[in-house]
Amino acid sequence: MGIDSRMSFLIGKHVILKVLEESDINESQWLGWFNDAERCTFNQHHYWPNNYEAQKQILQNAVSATKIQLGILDIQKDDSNICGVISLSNINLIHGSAEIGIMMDSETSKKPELFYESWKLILIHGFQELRLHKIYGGAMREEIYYSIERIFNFEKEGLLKEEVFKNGKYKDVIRFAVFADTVKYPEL
Amino acid sequence: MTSFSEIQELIARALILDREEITRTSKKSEIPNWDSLGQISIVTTIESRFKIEMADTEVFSFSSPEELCAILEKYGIVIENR
Repeated sequence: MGIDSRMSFLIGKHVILKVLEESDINESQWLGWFNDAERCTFNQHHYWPNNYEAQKQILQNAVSATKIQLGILDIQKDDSNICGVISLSNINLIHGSAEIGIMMDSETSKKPELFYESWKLILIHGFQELRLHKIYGGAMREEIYYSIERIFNFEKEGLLKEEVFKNGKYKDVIRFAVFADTVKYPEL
Repeated sequence: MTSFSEIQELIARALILDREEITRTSKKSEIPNWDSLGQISIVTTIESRFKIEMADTEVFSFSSPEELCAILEKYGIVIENR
């Protein structure tokens, strides 16, 4: 099955960020990612089990005045199964800010061009279409921060002490941000 | 001039692995922890050691220690026993 071009929202060299739809729940592994303890080691999921109804709620909230969540399609793959999702949430058009988040399947996370192009496309959209001033995020792993600092020029804003309870421990979260006038887009 | 064993050591440090897990010809798909974050971790470790800044296209282009060595040679870093 090919890609439905009507649902393609942002198109890069390696990925298409598509509008999420019910077929993405039925045909991709999206629903299962939230039930996979290992995949959720470093994010704030896997507290409650996910099921079809819960996933439909996520889908219903994927696009709103304060959120844009898109599915990631690998252009090289000859199918229409999403291999990740990426979002801008808490969009605040007064302050010009939004929070970035991403989740990918383990096979795709081995391909840096897919991972970083997804970030690149949504950052460009945020800064150049939504006229945002600042895009921020958080990570429990230092490697995530160091990679996006190197690639997109994110800056560390601080450390949220014992912000998240995960795997029996409170974990610190590195809070990072990039600005419209300092962001750097890599050639991919 | 540097040695391949130092490159091996730097990659292993970046990926939090033992040096023996990195061989000259192994592909990233065969090396644990070499994912999107691992790739950049290798790049930043190498850049900091050799005081270089790799081009974006190079950052994403290598998928084995051998390919990384070929890129480093463009920066005048000669690798002994490559």
